[in-house]
Amino acid sequence: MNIRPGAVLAFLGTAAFAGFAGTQEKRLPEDPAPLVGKRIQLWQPAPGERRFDEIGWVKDILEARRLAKEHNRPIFLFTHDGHMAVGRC
Amino acid sequence: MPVYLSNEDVFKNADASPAVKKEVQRIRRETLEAKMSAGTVHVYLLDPEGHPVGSQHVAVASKVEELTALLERTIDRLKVPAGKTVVPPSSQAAAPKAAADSLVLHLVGRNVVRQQGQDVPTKTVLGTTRSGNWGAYPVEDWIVLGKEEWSRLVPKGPLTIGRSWELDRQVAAKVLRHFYPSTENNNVSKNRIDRQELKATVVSVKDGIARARIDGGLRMKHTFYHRDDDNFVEATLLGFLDVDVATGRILNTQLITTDATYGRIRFGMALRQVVPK
Repeated sequence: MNIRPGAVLAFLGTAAFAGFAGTQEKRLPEDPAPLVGKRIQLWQPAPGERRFDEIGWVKDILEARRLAKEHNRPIFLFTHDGHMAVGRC
Repeated sequence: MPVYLSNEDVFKNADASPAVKKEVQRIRRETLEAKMSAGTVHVYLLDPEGHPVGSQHVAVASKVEELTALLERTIDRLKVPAGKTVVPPSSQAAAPKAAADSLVLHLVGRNVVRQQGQDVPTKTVLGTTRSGNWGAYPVEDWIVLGKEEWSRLVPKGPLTIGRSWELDRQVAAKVLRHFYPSTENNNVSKNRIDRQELKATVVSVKDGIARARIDGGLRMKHTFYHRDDDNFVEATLLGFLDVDVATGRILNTQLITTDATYGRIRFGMALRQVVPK
């Protein structure tokens, strides 16, 4: 039987890769906590992105009306679609 | 008195206060009668008696100089003295009240740009004209899972190293429907999940706590506006659950996207468990 050296090398390479892959399948995946925790920490809203919270917002328009009259202050009302407080608008 | 309100909360929520709805309608009507602009996404300035003295459409109000001028004109006209805020400032994105045995999750989403193989959040100079576009700010969501729901995320039987399972699809979907970037449409009930994979594998058991790594993926249709389009969320997910092996209680949940796109937008989500308030 005439076997080409290249075919043997290809077979051995394939077998070696299959063995390697089998080892990989048995290995437990890494603990992702360090990577995940770091990303979560980095992506939290920074104080500079939450300056919205530095405004003394009144909880609703009826309460704003009551306080405006009581303190002789004007009302700033913004009506919008979505939920501005969490950036979903 | 600064106040904001969501049109959905006032006009589409079955539990909305009729008095608030009536008041908003009055303000809009009086503003129009005074020959000023009025609309759903709008700034209104009212005098202390509640009558309109100024207004701006959001497209105008988002220009810093325009809104500042309107505020200064109103201050001059009404002779408003400087003073401290009547209501103390507080976090407007605070955690919702939840039962002590519930699982409360806080989600942050950001638009990102890819730099040297890393997703880097886009940063906007806040308080400047055009700093209010979609994606300029991080988005946040609170998701509360009752005990009956989070219990389904943990399988029955011993949590031994190497054990794998698929997270309950219904409970996982409740969380994943929030995995989309800043868009005009925020009706998560309309999000359609076409592919959902969340596989947990126990990678360690230490001091009575099992850590299960989560690997997964998501393909979800989410329209940018409230009309149909071809935008889909495509995301690869990575995270973990820490579970008390004796009680089955989930002690810690963290989940991120490692690669996420929405149409031509790159974005990232970061989910973490917080203590119920």
